[in-house]
Amino acid sequence: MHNRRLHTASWLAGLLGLIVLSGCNSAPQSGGTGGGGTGDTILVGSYLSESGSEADFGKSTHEGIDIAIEVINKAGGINGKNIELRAENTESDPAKAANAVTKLITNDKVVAVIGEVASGLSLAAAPICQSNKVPMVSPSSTNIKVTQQGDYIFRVCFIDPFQAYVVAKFARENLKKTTAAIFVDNASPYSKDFGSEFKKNFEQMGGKIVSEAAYAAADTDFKGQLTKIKTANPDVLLVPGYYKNVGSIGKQARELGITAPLLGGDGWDSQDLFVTAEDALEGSYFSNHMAVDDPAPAVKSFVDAYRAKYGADKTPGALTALGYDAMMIVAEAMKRVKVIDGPSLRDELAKTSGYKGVTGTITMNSDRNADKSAVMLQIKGRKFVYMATVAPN
Amino acid sequence: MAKLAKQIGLCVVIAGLLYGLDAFLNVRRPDGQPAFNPFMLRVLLLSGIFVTLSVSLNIVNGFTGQFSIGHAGFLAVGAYVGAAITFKFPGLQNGMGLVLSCIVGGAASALFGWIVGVPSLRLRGDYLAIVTLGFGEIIRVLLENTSMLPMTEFLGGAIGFSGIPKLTSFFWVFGLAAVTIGISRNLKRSLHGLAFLSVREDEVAADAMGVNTTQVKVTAFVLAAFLAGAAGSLYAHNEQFILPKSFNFVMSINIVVMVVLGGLGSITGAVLTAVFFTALPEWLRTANVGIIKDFYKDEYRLVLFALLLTLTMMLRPQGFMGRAELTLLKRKKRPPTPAPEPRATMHAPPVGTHEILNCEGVTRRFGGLVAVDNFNLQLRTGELVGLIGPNGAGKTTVFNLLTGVYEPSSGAVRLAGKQIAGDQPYSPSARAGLIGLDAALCGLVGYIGATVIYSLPLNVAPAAMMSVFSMSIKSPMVLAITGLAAAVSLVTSKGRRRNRPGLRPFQFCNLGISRTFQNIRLFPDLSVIENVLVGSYGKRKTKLFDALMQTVRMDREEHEQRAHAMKLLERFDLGSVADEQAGGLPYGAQRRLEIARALATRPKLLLLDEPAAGMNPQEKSELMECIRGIRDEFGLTILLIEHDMKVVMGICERIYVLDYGVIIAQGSPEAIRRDPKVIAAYLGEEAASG
Repeated sequence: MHNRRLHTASWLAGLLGLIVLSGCNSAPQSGGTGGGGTGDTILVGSYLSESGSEADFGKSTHEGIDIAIEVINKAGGINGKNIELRAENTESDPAKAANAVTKLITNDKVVAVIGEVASGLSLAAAPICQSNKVPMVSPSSTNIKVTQQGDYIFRVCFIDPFQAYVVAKFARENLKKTTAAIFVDNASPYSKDFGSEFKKNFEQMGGKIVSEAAYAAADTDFKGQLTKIKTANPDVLLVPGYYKNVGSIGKQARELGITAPLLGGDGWDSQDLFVTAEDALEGSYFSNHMAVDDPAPAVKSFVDAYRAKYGADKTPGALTALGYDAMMIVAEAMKRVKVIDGPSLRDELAKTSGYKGVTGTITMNSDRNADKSAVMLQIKGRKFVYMATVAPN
Repeated sequence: MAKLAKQIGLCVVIAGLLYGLDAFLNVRRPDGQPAFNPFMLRVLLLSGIFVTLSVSLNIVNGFTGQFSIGHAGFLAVGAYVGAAITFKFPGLQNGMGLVLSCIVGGAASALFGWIVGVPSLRLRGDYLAIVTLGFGEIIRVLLENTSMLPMTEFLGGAIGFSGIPKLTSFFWVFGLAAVTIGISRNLKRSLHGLAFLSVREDEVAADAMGVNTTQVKVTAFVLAAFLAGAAGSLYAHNEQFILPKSFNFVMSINIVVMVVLGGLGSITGAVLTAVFFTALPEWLRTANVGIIKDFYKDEYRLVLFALLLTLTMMLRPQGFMGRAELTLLKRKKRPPTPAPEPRATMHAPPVGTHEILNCEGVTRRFGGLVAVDNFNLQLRTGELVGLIGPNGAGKTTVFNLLTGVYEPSSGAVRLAGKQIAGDQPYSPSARAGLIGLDAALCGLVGYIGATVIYSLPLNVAPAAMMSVFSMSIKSPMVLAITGLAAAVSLVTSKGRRRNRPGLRPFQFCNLGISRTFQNIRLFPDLSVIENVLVGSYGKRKTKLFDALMQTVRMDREEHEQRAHAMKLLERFDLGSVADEQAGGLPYGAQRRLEIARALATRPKLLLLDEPAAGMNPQEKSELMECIRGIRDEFGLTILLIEHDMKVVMGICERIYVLDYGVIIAQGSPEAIRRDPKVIAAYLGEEAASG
C-alpha cells in the first residue's frame, strides 16, 4: 500500500516537473524592453482564419499584410529595421484565436497584433491583447463591440451602423427611391443589424419600408419570401448578406419578376457572386471599403503591387486592402515612436489622423474606430464599378 | 472513521499540491513578467478543462455504452449560466463566486441533461445520439438569439458574450478535473458502477437482473451533464468571451473522439487523449526544430493530425487504452476469499402449501398473431415445474410475460396473491387527471404552433419567441386553434383505453422473479464475479453517493456482496475462475454462471430457459442434480423450459405442454408421457415408448 502511494507520487511529481520545465524552458530569455525581434527586425503578429469556415477571409487579409510589409521593407523599413510577420492560424475557432494571440505575445514577443476578420474571433483575442498591453488592429471586424474591449484595440474599417447609413443615404439621395424591402439573414448579427440600422436611417430620411423578411444562410430556395416581397412592390430591395446567398437571392428575384435593384454591403464583395447570380444582379448597388477603379494614388499603387505579386489578371478584394491598411497604419505609428513598446505604440496609433489609405482617409476617433468614407459600387457586366464616395456625417 | 480521515487527508494533500503549483505557476520575475510562459499555462488550463469534459462524457459513452454527441451543448449551458452570474453580480467576482457559478452552471446543465435524457434514454439504440445532436444545436441556436429579448440581451446573441471576469485559475481547473477523475474512478470500481457497465454489456440482461436501466442511464447522463456544466463555467471565466458558434457540433465530436480514442470506458485513456488533443496542436505551433519545423506550417499540422487520428482508429480500434486503466503498480492481490461456510440449508417451505404464481387467462397478441392464448398456470411454493412444447409454441413468450419484457394483452399475473401484470385500470380520479393533462398539453402545443404561424410574416424566431414568452394572443385565430387542439385531445383522450403502465423487468426481478436466457446473455466483458455482483445490485442498501465518495458503508456492502457472490460461485464450481472474463468461459460454465447470477438476485421464483441446451449427457445429469439441489437449498420455486425429455421427466414434478400458444395438457410426467395430444403435437411415438 505504501509502496504504491510512493510510486504514484513519484509519477505525478515527474509529470509535473516535466510540465514546469518545459514551461520555463520556452519562457522568454530576453528582457522585454526592446520589443520583439532580434537585431534589425521588428516582429508583428497576425492571427487569421487560414482554415475552417472563414478561411477565404483570412487568406485574403494575409495577402494584404504581406504586400504592405514588402512595400515598407523595400522603402527602408522602420528606421532601418525590417518588419517580420509571425502568422498564426485561428482555424475560425475563438479558443484557438485566443491561443494564437497568447502565443504571439508571450512566445514571439510581437509588438503589435493584426487580426481578425470575424468579430467573434476578434472579441476572443481582444482581452488578451488588452491585458498584455499589446496594441491590436483589426482590419475588418465591423461589430461595434470589438474596440469597446479596451484602449489597446483599434480597427481600420468602418462599423456596421455606418455602412447601413451609407446605403440608406445613397438610396434616398442618389437614387431618389422612396420605398424599400429588407431581406436579412436572422442568424447573422451583421446582416440583422445592417437591416435594422438601414430601416432606422431610411425612415428618418423620409423613406418607407414596405416589407421585411428573413432567410437562413443554409437555405437555397428563397421564392416564398420573395413572392411576398414582390407583392409589396418596393423600389429597392436590401439584401445585406454574404455573396453566396445574395447570388441565389438575386437570381430567384429576377425569375419571379422583381425588377427593383438590390442593395447590399461589403458581404457582396467577391467575384464568386457571379457564380450563382450570373447576370441577375446587373445594375444593383452595394457599399464597400474600396473600389479597384478608384483614381486615388494610394489605391492605384496598392493594386499595382498586388498584381505584380499575384498576377496581372487578379483583382484584390476589400479584405486584402484592409489588411494592407492595417499593417500600414501600424508601421506609420512605429515610425513615430522612439522605443517600440506597447504603450507608446498604442498612443501613436490613437493619434493616427488623415492617413491616406487604400480604403479611404483614416482618422482614429476617440473610440479607436476609423472615421472614414465608404464607396458605393454598381454591378455592370460582372464588374464592380465605382459610383460614389459617401463620407461620415 | 480511519478511512474517512484518510480520504480527507488525500483531498487536503491534492488541494495543497494544486494550490502550491498554482502559486508557483503564477510567480512573477523581478521585472514583473510571469516566470512561467503564459501560453503554456493557457494550454495547460484548456487541457484541464477538456480532461473534465472527456472523463465526464466517458461516464455516458464509456461506462453505460450510450452514444451522446451533444456534450458541447452542456458545456455551453454551464458557460452561459455561470458567466451570467458573475457578470450580473460584481460582488461574486472572486473565488467563491467562481465556485458558486460552477455549481449553478452545473446544476442548470444537469437539469437540461435530465430533460433531454428522460424521454430519450427510455429508448434503446441510436435515439440518444440523434436527440443529443439536436439538443446541442438547439442550445446553440437559442444562444444565438438571446439578443432578441431585452432580458437576455447582455448575453450578446450570435456576436458573443464578452466582458466575463477572469476568475479561472490552475487550482480550480485541475481541482475539478481531480474531482471528476476521482468520482469516475470510485464509480467504476463500485457495485453501482457495475450496474452502469452491465447496461453497456447487455441492456436486456441488466434489466432482468434488477438494474433499472433507464434510471442508470439517466443518472450517468445527468452526472456527466453536471460536470460538463461546471467545466463550462470554468471555460467561460478563462476565455472571458464566449461565442455560441464555438459550442458547435465539431466541439462535441472532438470530445467524443477523445473518449473513443482513449478507449471507451477507460478513465486514464480519456485523460491522456484530452491532454494530447488539446496540447499537441498548440505545441506544434511553437515547435521549430528539425523536421517538426515543417509541420509548423498549418497545412501540414492539420493534415498530420487527421492522419494520426485515422491511423489510430485503423491500427487500434479499441482506443489507446482499450478498457484498461493505467495503474502505477500491479493490482493489489485480492484478499483471499473466506472459505465457503457449510451449506446452510434454508428452511424451504413445505411443497404445495401456498400458491406463489398464478396466471389467469393471460393472452398476448403481436398484431394479428396470438402468441399466447388464454394461458393458465399455478405454481405452489417449492414446486419444480416444466414447460414444454414444440418450437414456436410460445414458451419463451410466457417467460417474457412473467418477467415484464412483454405486457399481457389481457389476463392477469399474480405473484403470491398480488397482481403484478395484466389489466390494471386507473382509478376514475387519476383517469380524469390524465385526460386533463392531455388536453392542457395539446392546448399548449396548439398555442405555440398558432403563435409561430401568425408570426411568420415577420421574422420567425424572435417574434414567435417574444409572443410565446409574453403569452400574448396575436390573433383571435390563435385562441381558436388553442381551444380546438385542447378540445380534440379531450375527446380522443376520453375514448382511449387506459391501463396503468406495467412493471418493468427490473421490478419483476426485485419482486423475486429471476431468469436465465435461452441464448446465454452474460455480461461478456465483465469478470465472472462481477456478473454475479450485478445480480445483487437490486438488493443494495447504499446510494449512488456512497459509490462516488467510496464511503465506509459502500466498502462494507461491497465486502458482503463479494463474499456472497464468491459463495455462489463456489457452489457452481466457478470459484477458481472468479476473475476471468465471463465471455471467455466454456459453454457449460457460462450456463452455470447465468444460473448463479440469477440466484444472486435472491429470487423466490426462478425461470430457467433451456438450461441443458448444448450440454453433453454427463453435464446434463450434473445439471439435474444441481437444479434439484438449489431448489432445496435456496427455497426456490422453479419453472423451466426444456427440450431434453430426460431432464424434464427426470426432475419436474408437474409439466405444462404448450402448443400454438394454448395449453394442451398438464399433469405429472407420467401422465404427460402418455397423453395422446402431447404425443401427436410434440413427443412423437418414440418418446412415448421410450
